[in-house]
Amino acid sequence: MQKSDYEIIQEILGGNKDLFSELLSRYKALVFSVVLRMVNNSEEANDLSQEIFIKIYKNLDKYNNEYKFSTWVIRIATNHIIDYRRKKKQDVVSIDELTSEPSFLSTPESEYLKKERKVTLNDALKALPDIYKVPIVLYHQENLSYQEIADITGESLSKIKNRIFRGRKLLKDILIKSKEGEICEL
Amino acid sequence: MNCERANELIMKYMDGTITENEAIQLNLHINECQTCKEEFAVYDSILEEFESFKYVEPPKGFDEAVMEKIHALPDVSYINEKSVYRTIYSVFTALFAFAFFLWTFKAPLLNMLGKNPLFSEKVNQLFSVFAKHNFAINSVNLEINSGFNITNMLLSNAVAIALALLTAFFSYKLYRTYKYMGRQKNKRQ
Repeated sequence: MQKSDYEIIQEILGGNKDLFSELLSRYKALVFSVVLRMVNNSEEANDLSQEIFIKIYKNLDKYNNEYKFSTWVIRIATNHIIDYRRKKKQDVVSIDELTSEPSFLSTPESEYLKKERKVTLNDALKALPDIYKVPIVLYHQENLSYQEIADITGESLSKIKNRIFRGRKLLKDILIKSKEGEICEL
Repeated sequence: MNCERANELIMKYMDGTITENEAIQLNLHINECQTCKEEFAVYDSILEEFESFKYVEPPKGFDEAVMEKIHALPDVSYINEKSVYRTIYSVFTALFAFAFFLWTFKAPLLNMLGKNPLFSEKVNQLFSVFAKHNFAINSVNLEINSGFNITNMLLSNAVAIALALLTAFFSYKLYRTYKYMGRQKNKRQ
């Protein structure tokens, strides 16, 4: 029978370091996907995800079983990304920069349009400030509840709700602006 | 319906909490208002796009790189906080319960020990201490002895009550720790 996360954690805490690879294989896609939505490229996401797992390993004894392990993992990941960005003082990509990005190579038209739309949403997400992006990604991509996001970020429920609403509006505005940009270019 | 209300309903649509009736209202408004119609289309595409996002696996060699770094770390010492608390609470519960027992039965215990030639000298010294203590309490009793008085009772048993309360407090903390650990165990199963 497959061991539960908690059993694995207890064994690692007891000294079985190698078992951490099991947690890695269970949660690496979750962490990498969240990180990838929040940073600009996959190399950066790879480095950050590795650092996040080291952090998880070092703080494993602080995990409280009252929460799902995945929620705890996401909390460490989002806090790590926010810290990293603060240190790096990375500027948020401006909307104008986004709309002038080169389009993709020729593919069949339907496929092209689909891809184009996806790229735009992805980039629009990256243009959002962290305070909106983090809850939006956790809500829409990870399907966490408002309450879970509030627990992860340490913010109040009403604040999270407002940020998600506001974040969606910003996304919509970016997308509409980029569409208008396309029409102008034609 | 105005556009503001329509916007609220669009948010409910995004949350998946819109009711059938609200959806009908929203539809009616969207058919009349071009701005809201366009906005709704964008919101809907965002929702659709999020649904199509898949989990992305990190590049090859990710696991190995992390495990290598973990093995290179100096040993992390994990202290299980819960079991530390459990030990502290058990020790204090036992200590205060024992003190309560000694204090409550001090007279028969000392009598019993007094009969033993090995302890009789020490016991006699202690007796004089207790005699003084009892005298003090009795004088307090006399001062306030106007029928049944709860303060009177509390004062004369202050030490015993304090010890009993401390025992109760630590055994409650101990019980909470066990309950918490039991809940975690159940969760695991």
